[in-house]
Amino acid sequence: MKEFGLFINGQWVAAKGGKTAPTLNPATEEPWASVAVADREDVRKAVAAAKKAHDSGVWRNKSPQERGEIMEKVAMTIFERQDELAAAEAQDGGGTLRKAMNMDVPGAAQTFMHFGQLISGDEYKAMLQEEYDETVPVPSKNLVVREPIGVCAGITPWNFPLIMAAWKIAPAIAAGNCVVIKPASLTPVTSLMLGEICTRAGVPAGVVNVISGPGGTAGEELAAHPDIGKVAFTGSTEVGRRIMQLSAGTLKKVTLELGGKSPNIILSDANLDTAALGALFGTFLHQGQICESGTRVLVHASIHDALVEKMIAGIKRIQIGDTMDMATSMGPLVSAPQRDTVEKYVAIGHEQGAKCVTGGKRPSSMPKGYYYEPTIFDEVDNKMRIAQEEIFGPVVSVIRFKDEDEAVRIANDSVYGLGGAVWSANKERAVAIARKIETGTVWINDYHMINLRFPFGGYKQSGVGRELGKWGLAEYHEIKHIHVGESTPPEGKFYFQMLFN
Amino acid sequence: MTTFRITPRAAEIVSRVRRERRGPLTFTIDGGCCEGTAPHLFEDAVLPPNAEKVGVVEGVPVYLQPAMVVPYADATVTIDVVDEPMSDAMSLETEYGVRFVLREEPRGFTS
Repeated sequence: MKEFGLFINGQWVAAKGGKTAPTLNPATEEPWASVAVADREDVRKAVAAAKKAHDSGVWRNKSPQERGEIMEKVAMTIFERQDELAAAEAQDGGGTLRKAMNMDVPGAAQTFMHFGQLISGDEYKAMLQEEYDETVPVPSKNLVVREPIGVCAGITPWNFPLIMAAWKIAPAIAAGNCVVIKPASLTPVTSLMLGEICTRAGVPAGVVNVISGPGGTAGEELAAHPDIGKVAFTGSTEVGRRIMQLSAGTLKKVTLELGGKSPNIILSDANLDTAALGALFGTFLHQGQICESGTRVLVHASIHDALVEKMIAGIKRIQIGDTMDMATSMGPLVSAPQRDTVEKYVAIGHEQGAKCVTGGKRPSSMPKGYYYEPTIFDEVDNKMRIAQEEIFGPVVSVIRFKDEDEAVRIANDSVYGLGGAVWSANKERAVAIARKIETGTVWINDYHMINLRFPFGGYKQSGVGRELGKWGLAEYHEIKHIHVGESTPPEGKFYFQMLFN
Repeated sequence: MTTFRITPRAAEIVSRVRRERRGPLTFTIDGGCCEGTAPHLFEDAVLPPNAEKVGVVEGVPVYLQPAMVVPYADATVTIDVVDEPMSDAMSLETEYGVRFVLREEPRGFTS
């Protein structure tokens, strides 16, 4: 069985207490690897390594072009180890190998490539230092400069472990920061591997540290640590709140990417074949374990029956099976408790009078593994619990609307605001609707189309701050204004008259 | 009105946390992503003004976070505990390799 230590200061190290824990393969319910478990001292050691690396200037003093070149090497190294990473990702998290090979590994590599290229260009150079000549109130040259924050922490979830680690590492180090990453305890392996890959590719020791450990100790330690200037977290709402609260003591910058219950709105002029597949894609990809999943399908009453029929037919094209088989497109849920949660909400859906038209049970073909069938509830009222609470599994609620105003009202009747979509042949009409929806991303005639160039994050209880693109990159910097005044005799400083006679 | 209960094992864990911690404890119940709708036990928690207190257990007040107030308005909920060695919830009981969960009784729906 494979064993992984913590990755601190460019090396594999055992946890100080020697503690390890097995990590399970959700498809077999068996342990497939063993991982070190960090205690508070290990976390502090990782932060100290990051701080030392940052203070030494070994990373921040490189030009953006140099950092960019190394980051592109990280991307290349990820591609070189694609098979190993994809297999590990599928075994750790229960995603399909198909997804790991086509989304997770390329997505992680592209993240490093994107930010590496972003900092190598003229736009970033211009962002790093802006210059303004002023004549009032006094002649001065003004520099507005951006600098790295220092040591940043990233706490990542179990649904896209490698990509989420890349999202937390790449923009941070692109900006010249050093990082400590705490991956989810259910899926620590690929993040640990990524730490090593960064070092192999030329990122200096201490710049990227990865420590696996439970949220209550490792997460708390990072959120409260005085040497950490920013914490970025993706995960559940209550934990996000706690991290923000713990960060308050040391006034950290905080980025939170939390839950969602995103509306997928289908207008009567939508291409129904595409919209039906889009509704399935938006909610069943990775077994529905995606924060921005379109778990509420809002459909115009006139096309409701046709859409639901097409959705039911489309489900036949989803293949549940052995995650390591490339023909499989749907794997298990990540853990037994996650499946328990899904089953609980399916029962609640029935209790509250929603109509389960497909799924709603475990597949008989898969006796082992935390599998669950893609499930469609129809005739859902937006006030029902399955329409308001996040399930984080393959369960979609179909809700009718009679006109655009009602669609917008229903879409916004949620505590969340992460993703969403509008399907229509009339793009202008769709954009007009998109502007009214209180959510950080709206796709028109698409779903899950996350583009590294554009900001991603939530309104309302879905989070704080934005990741990706130049907006996400900017959030990993401090801003400094340098006012360069003239060296004149005192008489030249007229405002001194405020104090001096 | 939300009716609130707790299992003996969960109550015992709460006592243990209470003995080992100094700050004021609160239970908050919220949903969203990874842990599902679950009770979290925190020390010195900051609560939004519209969170609702629904009970007290072992001297610890239990609150519904605002998003849970309507869904749980007429529920009977029981706080239970399950074994979970490597939880990422930052709730205090996770240090003992367990996690609090919420059990509910079935109820209908009126729109």
